[in-house]
Amino acid sequence: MPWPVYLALKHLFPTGRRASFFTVVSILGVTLGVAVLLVVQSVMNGFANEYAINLIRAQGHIQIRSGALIEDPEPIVKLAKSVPGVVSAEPYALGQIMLEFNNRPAFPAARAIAWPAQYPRTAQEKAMAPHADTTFPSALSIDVNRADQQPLEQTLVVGKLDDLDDNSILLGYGLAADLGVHVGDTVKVYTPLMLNRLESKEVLLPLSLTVAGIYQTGWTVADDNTIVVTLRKMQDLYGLDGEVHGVEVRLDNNDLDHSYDVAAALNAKLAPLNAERAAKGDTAPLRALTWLEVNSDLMQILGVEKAVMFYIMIFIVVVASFSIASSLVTSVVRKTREIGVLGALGARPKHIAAVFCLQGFFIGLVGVCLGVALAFLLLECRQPIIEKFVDRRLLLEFYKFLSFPVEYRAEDFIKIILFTLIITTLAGMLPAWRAARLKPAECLRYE
Amino acid sequence: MPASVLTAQGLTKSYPTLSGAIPVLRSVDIEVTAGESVSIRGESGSGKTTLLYCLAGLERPDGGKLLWEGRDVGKFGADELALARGQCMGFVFQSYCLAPELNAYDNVLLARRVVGRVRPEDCSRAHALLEKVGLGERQTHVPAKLSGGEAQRAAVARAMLNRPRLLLADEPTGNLDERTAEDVISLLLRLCAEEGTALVLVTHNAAFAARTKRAIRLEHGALVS
Repeated sequence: MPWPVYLALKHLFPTGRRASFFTVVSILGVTLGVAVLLVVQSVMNGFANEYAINLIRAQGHIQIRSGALIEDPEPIVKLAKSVPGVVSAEPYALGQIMLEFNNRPAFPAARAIAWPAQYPRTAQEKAMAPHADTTFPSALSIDVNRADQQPLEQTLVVGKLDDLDDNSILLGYGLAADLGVHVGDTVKVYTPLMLNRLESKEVLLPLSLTVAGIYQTGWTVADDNTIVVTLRKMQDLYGLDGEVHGVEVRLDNNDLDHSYDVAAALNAKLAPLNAERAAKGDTAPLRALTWLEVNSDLMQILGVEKAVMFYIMIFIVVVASFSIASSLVTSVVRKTREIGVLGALGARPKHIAAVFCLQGFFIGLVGVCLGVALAFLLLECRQPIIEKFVDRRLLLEFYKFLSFPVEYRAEDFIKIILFTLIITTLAGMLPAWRAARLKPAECLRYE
Repeated sequence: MPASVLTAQGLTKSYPTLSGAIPVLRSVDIEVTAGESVSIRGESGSGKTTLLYCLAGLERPDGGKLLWEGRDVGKFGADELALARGQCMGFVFQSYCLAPELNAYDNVLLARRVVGRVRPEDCSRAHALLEKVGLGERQTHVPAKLSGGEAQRAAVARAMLNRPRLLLADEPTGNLDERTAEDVISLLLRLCAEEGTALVLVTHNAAFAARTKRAIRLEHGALVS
C-alpha cells in the first residue's frame, strides 16, 4: 500500500484506539447527508412514479390525436390494435360540463380514465377501504357496447353499469358527496354547446340525466372531478356528430421506453392513413403521443421539484465537507512537527499533501457506504416509522395511500455518491495544500 | 583514507528580518568520513541546528557547497534531494518525533515506507533493531505508552533502519534524565560503530561530545575548533 494511503488510514483509525472523535463526527456528517439525499430523491421518484401511473390509468399509455376532431375512429382503433404491445384501444371524447343538483353546481373536469388491474392493493388497504379498488372506470365517455373496454363495474360502490345508458350518468364518489346526490336522483347538465348555440339565437335547455351509479377509484382526481356518460351522450353534449377527440391506447406494461417504441410504431403505421386524410383535404395529421409527451409540462414540474430538492439537500454534504476541511486544517497545524519529520525521512511534498487529501476521500467513502445503508434501512422500514407518527386511517382517507411510494434509481445513487466523494476529497485539498507548503526545517523547529 | 560521506565548503546562511539579514552560519567548512563520529557544540543561538539542517539538505544554504558522497547537493531537485536524504541519512531529534498513531514497530518501518516498498528483510531488520535497542517487548506499544527514553530508542531504531551512511542527531538527550541520556548516547555510538554509519551529534553536553572521535565548536555561526 502506498505510504500516504497507509498514513491517512492510520490518522483516521490509529493503532490501538478506536476511530478518533474527529473521524466519527466527520463520517456521521457525511452519512446523514447522503442518507437524507437518497431518501428524498427516492421518495420523490416514488411520488412521480405514482403520479405517472395514475396519469396512465386516467389517460392511457398513448393518445392518438390530431389538431381537430376525428370523424371516423374505427380504422385508427383497428390500426392501433395491430401493433404488438397494445392491449386496448378505444375512442374518447372529453369536455368540461356543469352539473347542477338542488341549486348546487359542480364543474367536473372531463377526463378519460382507464387501466387494467395491474396493481392490486394489499389485504390491509382493502380492509380499510373496501370500495376503493385499483381498477379505474373506462373512458370518461364510454361506448358500453365495446367488449374490449376495461370493466367499470368493479369501481361502482352503488348502482350497476347495466343501468348506464344515454339518459343516465355515473358520478365519482367525492363529487356525489359534494352535491348530495344519490342513485336515482336527476342532475342537470350544462355544456358550452349551449353558449355556442345562443350566438345563433338557439336556446338549448340543460339535459337531465339520472344518476345510475356512483364509483370510487381511490384517486381523488377521478372521484372528485369526473363523471362518466356514454360516448353517444358526450358527442351529443358537445355537438360532435359522431366525432371523437382521440383514441386512447393501453399497453401491456408501464415502461416508458416501451411507450415510446409503440408510439413510434403507431406513428409509422399512421403515416399512410395521414396521407389518405390529407388527400381528402384533412390537414390535421394524426399523431401518437406518449403519456409523457401529453403531460410534459406536469412531469417537467415534478422533475424541477426533484432537482430543487437535490440542490437544497446537497448543502448538507457541503456543510459536512467544510467541517472535514476545518478539522483537517487543524490536524495539519497539530501535526506540523510530524510533517517536518516526514520531510526529514525523505517524503516529498506532494505525498505529504496526499496524506491529508486522502483522509477527506476516506471519510467520504465510509460516509457514503454508511449513508447508503442508512437510506435503505429508513426506506425499507418507512412504514413503521410513518405509522409511529401518523394514524393509518388518516393516511388512507386524505392521502389515499398507506405508505410513501418509493423508487430507487441507479442514476440518483451514482450522482449522489460521486458528488459526495468529490466534495469530501476537495475538502482535504486545502489542508493538503497547506501541508505541502510547509518547509521541513520550519516544521521541526515548531513548538 | 576513508571515503568522505559529507563535505561542506564555505556554508553560509542568514535569516532575513525587517532590520536586515542576520547571519547564522559564516563560511563553515566541515567534512565527515565514513564511520566517523563528530560532535558539534555551541551555545544556544550559535547556529548548531541550522548547520545540521543545512548538512541534511533540509535548509538550502545561501552560499557554499555541500557534497554527499561526492555529489553536489545544490544540483539536486526537490524530489531527488528528499529521496537521497531518506535513503542515505537518518535523523534523531530532541523530541523523539514519533508518529502518535503508529506503534513502535510501525514507526521504525515508516522510514522504509517513505522511500520505497517494504520488503520482508525490512520487517526483519525493524524487529531486530527494536530488540537491539531494548524494545523487543514494546514493539506494539504506541508512543503514548513509551517512556521518554524508550521513545528515543525507538527513534534511534527508525534512524538506523535504512542503513544510512550518515546519522544526524540534534540534541538527542535534551529531554532525558542523566542516566537515560547516557544509555541513549551509548546506544547511538555503539550502533553507528557496528553499522559503519557516520554520526554528527549536536549536543550541549561536553561529556557526550568527548565520546565522539572529533568535536567541533560553533560560535556565532563560525567554527572555532
